[in-house]
Amino acid sequence: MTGTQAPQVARSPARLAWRRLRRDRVAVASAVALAVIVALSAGAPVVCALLGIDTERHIELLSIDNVGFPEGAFGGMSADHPLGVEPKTGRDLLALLLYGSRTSLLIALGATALSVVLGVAFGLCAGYFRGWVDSVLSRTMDALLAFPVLLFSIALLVVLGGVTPTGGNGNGLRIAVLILVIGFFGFPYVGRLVRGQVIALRQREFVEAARALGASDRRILGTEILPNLVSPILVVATLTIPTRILAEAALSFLGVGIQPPGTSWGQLLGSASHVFTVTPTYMLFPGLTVVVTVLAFNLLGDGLRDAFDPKTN
Amino acid sequence: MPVETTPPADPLLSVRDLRVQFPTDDGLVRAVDGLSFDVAPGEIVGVVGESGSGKSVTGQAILGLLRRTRARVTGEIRFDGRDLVTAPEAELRRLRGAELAMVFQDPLSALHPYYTVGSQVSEAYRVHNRVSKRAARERAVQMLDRVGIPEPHRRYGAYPHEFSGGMRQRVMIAMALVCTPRLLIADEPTTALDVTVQAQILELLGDLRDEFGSAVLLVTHDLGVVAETCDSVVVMYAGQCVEQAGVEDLFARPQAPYTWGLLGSMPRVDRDRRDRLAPIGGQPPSLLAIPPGCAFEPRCGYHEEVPESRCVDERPALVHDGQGRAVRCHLTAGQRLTLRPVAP
Amino acid sequence: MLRYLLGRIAGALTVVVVVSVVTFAIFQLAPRLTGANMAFYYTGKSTSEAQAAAVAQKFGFDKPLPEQYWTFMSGIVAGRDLSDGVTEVRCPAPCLGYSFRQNRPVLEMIGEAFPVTLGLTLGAAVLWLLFGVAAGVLSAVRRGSVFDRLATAVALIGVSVPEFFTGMLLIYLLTSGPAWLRLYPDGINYVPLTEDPVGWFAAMVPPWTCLALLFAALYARLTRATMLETLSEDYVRTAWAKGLPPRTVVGRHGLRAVLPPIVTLVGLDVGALLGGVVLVETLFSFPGLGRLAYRAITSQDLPVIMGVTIVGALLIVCANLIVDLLYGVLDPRVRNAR
Repeated sequence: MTGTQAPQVARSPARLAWRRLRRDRVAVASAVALAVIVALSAGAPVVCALLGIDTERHIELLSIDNVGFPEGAFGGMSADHPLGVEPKTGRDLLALLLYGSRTSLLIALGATALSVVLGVAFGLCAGYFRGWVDSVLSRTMDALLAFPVLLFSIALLVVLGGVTPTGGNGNGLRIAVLILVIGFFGFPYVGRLVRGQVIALRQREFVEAARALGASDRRILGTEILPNLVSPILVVATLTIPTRILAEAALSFLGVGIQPPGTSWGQLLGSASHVFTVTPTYMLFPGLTVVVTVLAFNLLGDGLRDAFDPKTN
Repeated sequence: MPVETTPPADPLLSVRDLRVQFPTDDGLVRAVDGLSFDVAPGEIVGVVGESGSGKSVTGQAILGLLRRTRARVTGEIRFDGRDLVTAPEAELRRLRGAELAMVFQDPLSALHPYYTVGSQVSEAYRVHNRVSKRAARERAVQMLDRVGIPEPHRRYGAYPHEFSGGMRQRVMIAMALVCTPRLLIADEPTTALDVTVQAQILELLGDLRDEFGSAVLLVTHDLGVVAETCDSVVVMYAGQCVEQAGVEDLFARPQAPYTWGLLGSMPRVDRDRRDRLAPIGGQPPSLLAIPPGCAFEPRCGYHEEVPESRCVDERPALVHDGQGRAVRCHLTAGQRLTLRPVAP
Repeated sequence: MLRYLLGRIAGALTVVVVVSVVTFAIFQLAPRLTGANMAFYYTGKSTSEAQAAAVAQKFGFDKPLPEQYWTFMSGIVAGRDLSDGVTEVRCPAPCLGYSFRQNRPVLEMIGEAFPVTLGLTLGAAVLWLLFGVAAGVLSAVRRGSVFDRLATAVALIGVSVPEFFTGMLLIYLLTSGPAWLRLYPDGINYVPLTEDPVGWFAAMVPPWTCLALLFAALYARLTRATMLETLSEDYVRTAWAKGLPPRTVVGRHGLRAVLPPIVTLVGLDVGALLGGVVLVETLFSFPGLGRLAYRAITSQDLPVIMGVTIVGALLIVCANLIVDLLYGVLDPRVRNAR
């Protein structure tokens, strides 16, 4: 560079962040991995058809002597059934995992959306209006954080589960209930973060200026504060998804979430919890799928945060 | 002729061609670029410059505080004959706090918020002196008393946030002087304080110098502070020294256009209020790309006086007059005399 | 300070009351949705019509909800006489209810389960804080070193592994895995501390590991980040300038500043820990509060559910209260502000 003040090319913060993100190899790899996982789950029927697998029962693959456990080593792994088959039913594990990922991801994304919407609404109001509004909303969020959340979720699901049809693939209503319960209990974390950001933003000059010019609260919130919250919200949303995946897995693992023959990662792990000492692979593959997905979301979230706010690293 | 105020003695601190560079993603930042000066025992030397001129970095380099950063420090920092740039860390650690001490700009962030001020002062004493906790405590109380903390016995157990800004800075000074160092580096010690408190702190520094005989390197952006306190001055711009002089000389006969600018932008009560302050226009150069000529040239109002655009092409050398003065400027001595704005 | 403390205690009690109200409400909602008789939630499926009527009469299902709730809560203070229509029971104060399905007072069941959960959570907390904080500090100090990279990678994976997956892996490896790893050939079974301390410890190690792994990873990440931030603070520079050795600068000046945020986080995580306990106790079949709650909920034994959720909420708010007080001790600025 020559000259004293090389003219800086005007770059918006979002573009700078995007550039930093693209240079972050770990984040890019995570994003690619997640894209593959999402594509596989979205295209589960196609993928299954291509691989020649399905979720039908294959009782012929189960050993009669061995009370319904798959024939052959490693949970009945074979060319036809690359990850083996489910004990007792003989359904193809890979097919179950692919279809299960649809349920798990749908619940996680839906619940995250709900948590973020609630959290942003609560955090925005609490941080912007302060005073008694803040007291009420913050206390509510603090109280929710002190709740035995898992116990409540189980109780709610048991009670609401009484009205949702079981049997068949009637998990549709259950998925909705899971999204509501998991999403609801996840919002205080988002709310607290948004509140803190809003309080910091409120003091900034451009908000003061807007207020001095007589802008309405709605206008200040909508045009001055919310746009500045996009990047922290994006980061917190990305980091909330894995926690919601784990929440669904935990509830289904305990048997109050998705019920067989419906399937999700947690449901598979839950079924496996009774038989894993005999067929460890039946537990291993769903478990590893959860770990890889959650890890990828965490890494991507970290990458996003570093890209938006490079000084934290 | 100005009378030499300090007899020529072996300097306590001798900085020669000091360079501090920070490698960054955008390139090499030259924070200090070939700086040389001396500090005699018991002398108060002011280092003046705008923010980003490298004055604070110089202080930290002397104490070796840049060793844990990515900074590259080269040149020579001789303290009592030892070169601090190449000294092993263990030796530096023995010197830090004992012979070389530092007072920072913001005493609130420079004091540990979770420890009492007394324990922080006595800790500084105990690192370098094998004494009992009680003896260290007594010493700390004595120091707190000396720097003007009222009721030092009671305040020993108070936390930094329970003190006012001025009192906190007194605590910092007590902590720095508890081992009676031979050199105290004070990095903008009054910038974060109220004006009335500033004067008290500066007076305290002067008194303590007389009492303990410590030399002081006073880093500041405020020429007023320099005028009140210092024996001699180093004016820095863009990591380099542009002028060096005894304090009276500097104010009476400033030589470098940058110093003229600094003096012109300094408010004075004895000047008519209708005379506008003259701030220096423009910005200091980016330390990533210091101009090849005189670093001050883009902001200097006198570069047309120098023929053949030498100010743009050729970096002026720091010229010593052999009487403790030095200046870095292409203007001739005669030009500097006639062009200098009329002294108020 | 006293006013602050009283305020906090009042807040904590409010949370417990809210939790109990919500639990109560959830199970008032249930019969309306399912059409089942309310008595079912007290006496189970095999309840006869007459018995159900008797239960309804005894518990006052026809009375307004606030009154029913009040009866339940006042029983905690005064004790209650209860009946399932067949047998009359006196439930002395503090009465958290009586499980007619198991024919035992709820408090007795909780009292039995509590030590298991306490041992599990305390042990796990010690492990996770020890390993998490130590790894985080070392990572921060040796930033960019092999250890830092390794610890960061392990921590990242650690926060991504659900505790029940770790649990299944551990159980499989330790009971049915390769011979050299088969340290628990007879399964991992809970032994009370009072009966056999060594056996207790041996049984606790795997569930401790499950619970601690997730949290240790989380805390290692947090400690590393906070420590890095702290090490760039002005007061740490002051500590270096005093000539303190690195051990003191990091161990005293750095670590001291990292403690308050860690303590705050512990308070926030107690709720999550209780969730982990439900999972781990269920998986390992340890007779603690988590398994008690889980079994009560899935069998819809309302008195036990009410009792355990209230006790659970009480534990969480107590932990939060302790954390708050500890924070006051750790941060002199907060102490004075109160």
